[in-house]
Amino acid sequence: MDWSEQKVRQEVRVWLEANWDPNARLIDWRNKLVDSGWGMPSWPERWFGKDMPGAMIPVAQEEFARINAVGVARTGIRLLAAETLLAHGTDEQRERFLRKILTGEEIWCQLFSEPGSGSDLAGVTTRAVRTEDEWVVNGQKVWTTSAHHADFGLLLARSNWDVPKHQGMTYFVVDMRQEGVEVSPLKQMNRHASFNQVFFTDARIPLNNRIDEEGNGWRVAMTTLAHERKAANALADNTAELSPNGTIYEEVQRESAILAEPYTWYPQRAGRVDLAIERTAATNNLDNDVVRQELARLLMMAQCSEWTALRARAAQEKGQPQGPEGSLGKLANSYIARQALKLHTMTTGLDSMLEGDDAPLNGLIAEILLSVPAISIAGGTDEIQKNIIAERVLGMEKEPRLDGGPFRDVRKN
Amino acid sequence: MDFAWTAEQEQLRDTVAQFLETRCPTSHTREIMDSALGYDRSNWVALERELGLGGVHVPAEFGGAGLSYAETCIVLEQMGYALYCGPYFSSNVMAVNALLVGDSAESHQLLRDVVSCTHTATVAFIQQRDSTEVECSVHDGRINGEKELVLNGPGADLILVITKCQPDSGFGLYAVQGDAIGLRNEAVKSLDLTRRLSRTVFENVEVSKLADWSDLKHWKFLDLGRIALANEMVGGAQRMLDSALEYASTRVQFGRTIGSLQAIKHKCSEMLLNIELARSAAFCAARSAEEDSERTRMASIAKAMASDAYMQAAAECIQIHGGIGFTWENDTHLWYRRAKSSEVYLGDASFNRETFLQSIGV
Repeated sequence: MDWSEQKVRQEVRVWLEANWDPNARLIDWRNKLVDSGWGMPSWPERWFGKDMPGAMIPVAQEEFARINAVGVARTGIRLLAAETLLAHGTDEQRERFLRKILTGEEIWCQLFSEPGSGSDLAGVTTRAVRTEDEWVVNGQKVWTTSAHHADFGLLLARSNWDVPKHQGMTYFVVDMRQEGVEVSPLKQMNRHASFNQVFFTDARIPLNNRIDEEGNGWRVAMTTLAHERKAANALADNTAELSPNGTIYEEVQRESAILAEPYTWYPQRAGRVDLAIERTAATNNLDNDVVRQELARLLMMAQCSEWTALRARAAQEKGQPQGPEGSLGKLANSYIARQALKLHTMTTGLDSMLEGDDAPLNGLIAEILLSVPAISIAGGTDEIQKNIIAERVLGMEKEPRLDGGPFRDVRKN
Repeated sequence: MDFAWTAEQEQLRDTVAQFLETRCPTSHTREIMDSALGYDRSNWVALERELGLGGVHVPAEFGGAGLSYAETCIVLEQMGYALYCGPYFSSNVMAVNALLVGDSAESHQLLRDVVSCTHTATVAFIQQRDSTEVECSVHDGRINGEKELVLNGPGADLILVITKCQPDSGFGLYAVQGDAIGLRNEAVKSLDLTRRLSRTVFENVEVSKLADWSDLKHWKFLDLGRIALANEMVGGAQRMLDSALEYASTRVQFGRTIGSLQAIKHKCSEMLLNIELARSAAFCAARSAEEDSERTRMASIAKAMASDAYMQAAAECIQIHGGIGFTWENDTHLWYRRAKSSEVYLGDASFNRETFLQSIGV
């Protein structure tokens, strides 16, 4: 197959001209798209793709964007599930799940973190016990986005307590709509409830819903997390849906509104650097030398962080190995958010004592003050990032561990 | 803007690094910093004779390499790393930048002399701050007054003075020969042992005027200095991190290397983050040094970030070394001294933060 840019462009264009209908039902359109392979062209031909090189994806996307054609469902963690199944699933599992992931008919969630295992993800204690004809799960998961909408969950559970911790986990697809699964929202300190707690009480999993071998759960989870990091970068692309004429867009908007809701406070979590100058001026602090110093600190950090990301990208494009940018960038974002919080507090002054509609900007500043603490925790704490940088980038010696030997004997919460 | 050095630029960097590693090891620096002159003149000359670095960004017609300011910054980053002890920054960067403003035959000749490393030059532009009585000025071709904190002033062949000239009270760039009658070029004790300073006292010294010197020219001169210095500082900061890492990987306490302790790891990770941020700023500033509309903003970010990053790295490097890091025998204090004097030279971090805000109209 010839994958020149011109060829891709033309093929997509011809197919879209013949098939795209802005007034089709969303489900009909997506099924057609999935069958054509143009929904996920870089996937294998056998699994709803076209075996197209990844470098050509932007070309295909451009053609879709040109006429505002709707793509396959991408929101939430559905694509992490799909990629995990592609890498580790059986054909039977791919057959059962992939299509409805792409059409958006089924919603997925990720069941990794637990109250007792946060930074140390491999310390999960949710228990999966194999009976004659199924697996039985007991335990608790936490920080699960969209669990209350989800049809299926990616579950990392402990199946063997007599081997070292990383070897005793197994990975499953669990049906979330069953009696043994209870989902309850987890209210955060900033009043939002973007995540859930999930309780398993004798929840059932059919034997053929195990992903990869028993005891291989950690390896499969690493695949999911690798795609999570990639997806985090792509998130912004898919939240900005246009709404030209056509009934299909109404359906798309309804779909994305539900799944975008948990993320409305994320900009506040990052500190809202975009408001820094405006707020300094609005609060009459432009001639306050103390405030000016903090403002300049913030703007410089944000600018330098952007440049650092561009340098890292340029180095990769030149074929140099991926540098420390992932963890360094995440760490920089924490520092920037905290500096922004400091500035917003200085400019807001005594009004920082207020929240909600009594507070400046109808509570937006208060939401910043109450959301920034999350940024240095979510997705790996600053402390874990620093360990990663120290050990993998700077080559410093690993910390001696105390959690070797059978997991049964390891100290736990 | 392309956010990576080109292959040629990387090659330049490696060549300079290798030269400095073999010719200017710290053991050698320790010997020469106590000598009468304070540096190794033959090594300085070799920078031009062997590597052609006498005027990296100077047009070929004046004997330079005809490259851009970015290449000058690449050289300086390596000099910061190696703690090069010699008049390169003062002579081949600062003085060259001043001479590039002049357009007389005399200033062109002086430029050639500096670029060819025949003469060392330095720029005397800092007025004595604790006295309002002494004002350096030029009248009828004679200069009177004082300038201080003159970089590598001791032993300089040529002193370029930026000062007021009466009676029109505008500023000018003047050339004073190092052996001029009436010039007292007095070495002062500098905190940075590898970059000496002098106070220059002019008593009716004969000068020649090279150029008018406006505020605009002065800002450009200072900004170019800040950009070059910021790059040197990033190199120094990187050396401090490398030195700390090397020590942390060999020093054993409590039966383990101290580098396996999170307290040390987290310090080093923070050093790396701050250095990378400062490096990005220094890099971008080096690339936009020729752009009049961007220079001040870029220079102020680069200098502010480098000031904080270098000082932090030097202080943490001492801390990670522990007691041995506080001894004279350990080399860390030589970089710490450079970090401190660089921190305040050409405006400290606070000054540059304020400059930055003004440059973006805030």
